[in-house]
Amino acid sequence: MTPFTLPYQERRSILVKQSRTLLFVTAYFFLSLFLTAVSVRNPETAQVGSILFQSIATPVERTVIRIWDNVESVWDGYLWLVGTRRENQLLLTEVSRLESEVVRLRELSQESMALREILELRKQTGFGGVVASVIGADPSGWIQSVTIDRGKVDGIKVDMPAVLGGAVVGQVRAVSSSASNVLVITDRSSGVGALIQRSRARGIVVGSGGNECFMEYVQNTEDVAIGDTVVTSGLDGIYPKGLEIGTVIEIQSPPGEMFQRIRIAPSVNHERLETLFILTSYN
Amino acid sequence: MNHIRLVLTAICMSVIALVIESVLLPIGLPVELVPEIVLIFVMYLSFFQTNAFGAFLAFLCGLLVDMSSGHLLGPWAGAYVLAFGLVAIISDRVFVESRTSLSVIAGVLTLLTHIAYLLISMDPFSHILDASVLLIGKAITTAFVAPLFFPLIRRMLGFSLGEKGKIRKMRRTISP
Repeated sequence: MTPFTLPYQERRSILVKQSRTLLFVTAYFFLSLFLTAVSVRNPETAQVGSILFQSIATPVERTVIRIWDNVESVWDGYLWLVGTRRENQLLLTEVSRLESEVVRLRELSQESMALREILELRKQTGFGGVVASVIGADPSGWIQSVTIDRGKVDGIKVDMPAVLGGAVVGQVRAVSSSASNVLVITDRSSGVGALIQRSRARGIVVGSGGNECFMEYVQNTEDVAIGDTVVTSGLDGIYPKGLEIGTVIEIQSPPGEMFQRIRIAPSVNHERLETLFILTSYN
Repeated sequence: MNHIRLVLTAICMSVIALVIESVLLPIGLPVELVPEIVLIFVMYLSFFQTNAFGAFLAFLCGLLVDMSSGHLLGPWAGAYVLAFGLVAIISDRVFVESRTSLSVIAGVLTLLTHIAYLLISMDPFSHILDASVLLIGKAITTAFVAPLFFPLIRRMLGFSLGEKGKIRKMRRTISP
């Protein structure tokens, strides 16, 4: 029943209530605009919120992952086998056991490869750091960031670089006691001081918001070719010099413009990140 | 007392929804197909808690989403409050029991909320193709799951003041 078919008094009270609600909606909307403006000027404000949320959500996330793992193992190891014939049961159990063993060994091999790469990096460069596992990602899809299971107690601090096998992943943006948020270099708000390894042309690598990056502020006169490797320049004060960022896949140098627009395929696929190495000391 | 209970329930449900969205669903789904469960909760609020307190709860849910992303505080809060306001305007004219109307509203609301988020956060549409795939994917999935989640939320919050008030109001309008 619409308000127009109700008696005058009731119609009036509904309209008054609706106007009051809309007044509050407007007020909260302006409050959120104010908060946005404040957090644009002071990113620490957003970090405080993120830390607060992580301290609530991380235990829930860990519990959910543990429950999920248990459910998965119960499903794989028992329920899936219910209803099969007795003679097949032993075989299926054996196959299942061997399969899970293969998967487990494959996982272990992947993990050990990642850890070996990290150790190699540590040995070659003398970087000190912490190995972390990825436990979550930004659900909205607009921000390219991942949550890792290491925090303040492990020595992680804001702005520390995250790498994987000598390639840049991103930088720590917010840290709670036992978890941290890492902004990946493909995010639009990310920026890395970079240079073309072959010609030493300098620029800044910014994220596209998708799976690629762009290298900007490289002058038209600089020598850049498709397939060139892009590495960190160390001039941004966050990433150490010489870490791999990616490979040049497209170059646009419109006539009359001062800079080239260079498209880069990052060396690390952030959508498949499982383990990271946070550099805690690299000077 | 009931307000405190509703605030706590809203926080708990948003945190759980965000954990589902960020941890559980991405295991088997690409991010474009992860539904906006928190938005469905805000939609519920705008139907059954159509008052200033409901607007506050929508703002709170949005703020939690902002906090979870750790990027900026405010854009999702603003977008969710706008979504609340939009549905609140039409809430008296929508037959909530209809799954189709719930789906349509959830789909359109997802699109509008994301566009509002992009405008508030001043995020340039640099990758229009990626953005449209994300928007359409999320809108379709949210529209698809809204009729499933809506009764669930309703059952969990059925005891809340808002719904009782709404039922009382409906009885009052029906009785001569």
